[in-house]
Amino acid sequence: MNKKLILMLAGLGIAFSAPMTASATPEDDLKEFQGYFKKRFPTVPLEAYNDGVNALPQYADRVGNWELLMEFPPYEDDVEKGEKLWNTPFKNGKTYASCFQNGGKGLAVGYPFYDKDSKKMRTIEADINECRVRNGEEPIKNLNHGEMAQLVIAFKRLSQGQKMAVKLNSPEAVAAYEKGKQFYWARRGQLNFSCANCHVQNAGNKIRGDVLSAALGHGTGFPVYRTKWAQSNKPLGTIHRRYGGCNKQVRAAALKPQSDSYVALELYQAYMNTGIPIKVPSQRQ
Amino acid sequence: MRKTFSIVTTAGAALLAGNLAMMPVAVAGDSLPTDKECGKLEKADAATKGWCTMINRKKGNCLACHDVVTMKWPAGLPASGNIGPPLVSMKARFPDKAKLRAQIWDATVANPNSSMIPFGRYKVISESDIDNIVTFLYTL
Repeated sequence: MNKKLILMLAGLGIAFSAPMTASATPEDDLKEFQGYFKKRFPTVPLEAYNDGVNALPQYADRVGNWELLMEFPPYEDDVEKGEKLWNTPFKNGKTYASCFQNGGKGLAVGYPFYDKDSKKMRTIEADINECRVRNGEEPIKNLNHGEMAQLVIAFKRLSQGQKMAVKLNSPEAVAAYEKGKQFYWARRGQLNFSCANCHVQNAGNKIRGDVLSAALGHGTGFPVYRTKWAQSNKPLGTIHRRYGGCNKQVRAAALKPQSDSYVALELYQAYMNTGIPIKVPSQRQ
Repeated sequence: MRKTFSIVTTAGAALLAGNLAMMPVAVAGDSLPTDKECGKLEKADAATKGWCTMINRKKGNCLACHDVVTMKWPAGLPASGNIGPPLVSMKARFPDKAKLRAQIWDATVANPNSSMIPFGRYKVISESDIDNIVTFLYTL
């Protein structure tokens, strides 16, 4: 009972803290969410939130180190590998680009989305694997790091600098959005934290020596090169890898990457990021 | 006494302003143990045990969110976070010891929006750990 705690999905989540009300539409949520951060960090423009904690005034005394690091970013090698993977034909001669409209250009701003044909929420990871299977290749098993992360980077870079514009244009998409919102605001784990406790309520505050990043923009820089992950030689990570780490830190069970709950969470965050440009990969601590 | 008080409040104000570099310098031989030193203590009074539980990252990890305003801050212990209020003048702020204990046991009773971990309710630390922490906090 003490460790590996059962998820404590106390319905508390939605009741907690102001920003969300039960009957609010996604449009209302978006306005309130972005408005909250505009008030909390009035000097930070919406477009800058793709830099994570580096964008916050509370981090100003350390941002110089990050800027120096960005002169020779540690992820360049992975970007090249991703491009190479993306452009290498399958055994049948086709490429990843053949699976996507317009070769995948500009599509990342609309992920995740609900697909009426497969009756599923589509993520970039799922579509990359489906593309492989359709062309007679094995799906990539590891959805947390390595080749999949490199490929997602290559795909998202086809939309580099374009603003997030997820559409919730079906009842199924709205249902997934509501599920993600619930996940975001519900407290979980033995430590009883919701995502919002740290990244909305306490964004910019210090947890020991670290500054808590703002919820706004979370995901726009993913997959990321994370310095912490580099210590175990797996520096790249998808957004679902990060979700798993967060869940573990609050002593809740991590869910599998691409599980329905994480896809819903990704959708909620992606929608909240409407208008923020994609910047992939990014470096994070 | 008056002098000590003014130093403490100045430190508190500085910390409240987010200036965490301003930790009071510990007086040699009269400082609280570091986490490492806590592990080597053979005998300790309740207050020291409480402090040791507070600074242990796998137990209280109180410093993740709260500063402890003390002249006995051990050299080498990293500065604290600022999510919760600084722990200072606890006796004056919580004249009722039971209320202070209840706050650690489950802060969401008094304030459902509190992001503080319900240390007692979710058994993050033991009941006697909580007692020891209360004893230590009353020395501040």
